[in-house]
Amino acid sequence: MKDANSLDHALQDNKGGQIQQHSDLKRQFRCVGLTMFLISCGLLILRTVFSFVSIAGVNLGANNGYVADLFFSLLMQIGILFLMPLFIFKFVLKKSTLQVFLFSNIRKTSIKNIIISVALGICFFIVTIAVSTIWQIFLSSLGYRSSTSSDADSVNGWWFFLSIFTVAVLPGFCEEFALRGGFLTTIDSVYNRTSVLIVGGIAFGLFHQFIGQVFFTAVGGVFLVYITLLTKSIWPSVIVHFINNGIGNYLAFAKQNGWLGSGFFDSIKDNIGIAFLILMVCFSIGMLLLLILKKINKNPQSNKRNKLLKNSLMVSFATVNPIVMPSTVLSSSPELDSTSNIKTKFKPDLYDYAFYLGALCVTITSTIFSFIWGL
Amino acid sequence: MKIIIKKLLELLLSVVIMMIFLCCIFISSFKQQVTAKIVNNLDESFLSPFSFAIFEYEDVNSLTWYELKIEVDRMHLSVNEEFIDKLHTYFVEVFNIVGLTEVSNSKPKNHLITGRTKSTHQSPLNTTSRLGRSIGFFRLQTEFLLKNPFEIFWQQLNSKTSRQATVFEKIADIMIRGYDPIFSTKSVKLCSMIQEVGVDPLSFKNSVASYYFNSNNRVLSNSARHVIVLKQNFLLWQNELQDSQSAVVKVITPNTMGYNAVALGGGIFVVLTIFFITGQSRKRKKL
Repeated sequence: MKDANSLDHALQDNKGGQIQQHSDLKRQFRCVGLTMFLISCGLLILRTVFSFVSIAGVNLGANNGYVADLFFSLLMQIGILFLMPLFIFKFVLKKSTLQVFLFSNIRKTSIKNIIISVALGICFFIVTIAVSTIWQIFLSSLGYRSSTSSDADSVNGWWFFLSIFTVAVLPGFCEEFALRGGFLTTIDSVYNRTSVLIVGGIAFGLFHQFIGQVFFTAVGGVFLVYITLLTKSIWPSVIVHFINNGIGNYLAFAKQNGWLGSGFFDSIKDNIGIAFLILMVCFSIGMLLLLILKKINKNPQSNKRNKLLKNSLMVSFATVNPIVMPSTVLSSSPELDSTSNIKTKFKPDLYDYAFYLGALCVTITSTIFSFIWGL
Repeated sequence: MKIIIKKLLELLLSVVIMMIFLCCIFISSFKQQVTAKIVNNLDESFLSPFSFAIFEYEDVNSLTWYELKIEVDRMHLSVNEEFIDKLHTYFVEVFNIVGLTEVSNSKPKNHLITGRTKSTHQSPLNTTSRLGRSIGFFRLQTEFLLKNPFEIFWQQLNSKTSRQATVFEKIADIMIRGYDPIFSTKSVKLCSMIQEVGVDPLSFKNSVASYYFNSNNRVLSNSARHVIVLKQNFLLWQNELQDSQSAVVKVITPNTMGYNAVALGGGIFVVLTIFFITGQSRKRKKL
């Protein structure tokens, strides 16, 4: 009898915990949706403001374009992509800064992961060139002709380092924070792994709001989501992102200034066969590195413990209620929460999706417009 | 009474949602007019966002030509014949100054200006991924090919929009693939246009074939390609053009405000509509 009472109490506590957790997840899901919607709107508003600044002919000094670019990058990357989600998560979800960082996958990672990420970054850059080229050819076949220039200018010195800061360092961290942080954690609690990869990739592509980049960034996004989920840390994807942007930026400057590697892009164009070979080699090395990364981050002890916990919970719960076995029960243990192997799957309704769909609408519309106008 | 007020508020909300969306579309057209006005009044600053570069090409047959690429930051401008003529005159003058009227591979160092000058060479291989890469600074890309038989035609072509240049490229592609220009409607029209400006269609076709063959197949050697930035010279010349209002004809599109407003309005519209629909169904459930 005593045992039955204590079991009843335990079940009631468990049910209360489930309701609380469901409510928390719902709030988290909506909060992240709001953040994504605000980010997508913020990026667009910032573009508009800067185009006005430009049309007004505001004189920002001799290196007008660079100064404007710097302001734009700082506002966009730090303001919209980093501080905005940070504060929303902190104040709406009532989390401490440390909790927000953990929620955003800012966790320590091993040296091995970092070393592999550096190598992966180089492979990623090469493969992205191929994907980008295919996409550009496809767009060209549709008559698309971008009016933006992607070449660097023939300036030296600290402008280059400043450019590295705005093109590689800031996006490397801030974009990853926004898209592989709280957003990824949240969608990971809603969808299965394959869906998370697809949604995460598409989100990354669409948030560029530019037809020229949407495809290869989406493909790259899938990869970055994968390594973040694999390592449970944002840092490997930050490193890969930084290396990709950094190399691209360096080569653009090198081309203009005759630095080492200045003929890189031209030599690719001139030697398609060799370029294809390099691509295949890099792709193979990248896949191999991914396998190593997967092996390194596989924790057999943790998996075994989770399996045991899961089994014990299933047995105890099934004894009382053999029909209903909600998945949320399985993650009520903090130990299980700390791993991503067993997750609570929260099912959002249309109301919860409102901001996500709004963000989707904003990003898709602006991307389509960039195609129509050839921006 | 309360029910009536509630119903009225709901009706008002749905009207507001629709109005937001319609306003965005309205802003879109409104901004276009404003832009045109700004451009027409930009006496001295309309040329300041100009930057341009000359590309020197040399093909395998040692045929050399020069390509002038002009880029206008901030807005798309459409230029007329007078503008093209002045630009052409200036271009030839500059060539004389820098000694490039002769076939030469040497860079005139005294005229090589480094600084904030964009090359319009768009490389699909540059994969730098950065959010907001296109921040809405519009650019017009106008290309001139000099020292070849079809320069006049090229100028005429560029007096129209860059979008039309893409159409031209398609026509040129058809021509170089070996279609007989006489039996193609588009090509017949093209041939007549070429003849009107006093250029032999056959030599034009060959030149186009040569140009596109070389550029598409990357036959051009990198060493034969020089970029000569002449922004400073252009800045000197722009003083002559400051009085010429006719140089700017119109703003052709697009406007960032317009499409951004539609995108933003669309997003807000979606969010509010979902809130509105789900709000109604929740009320029904409660009842």
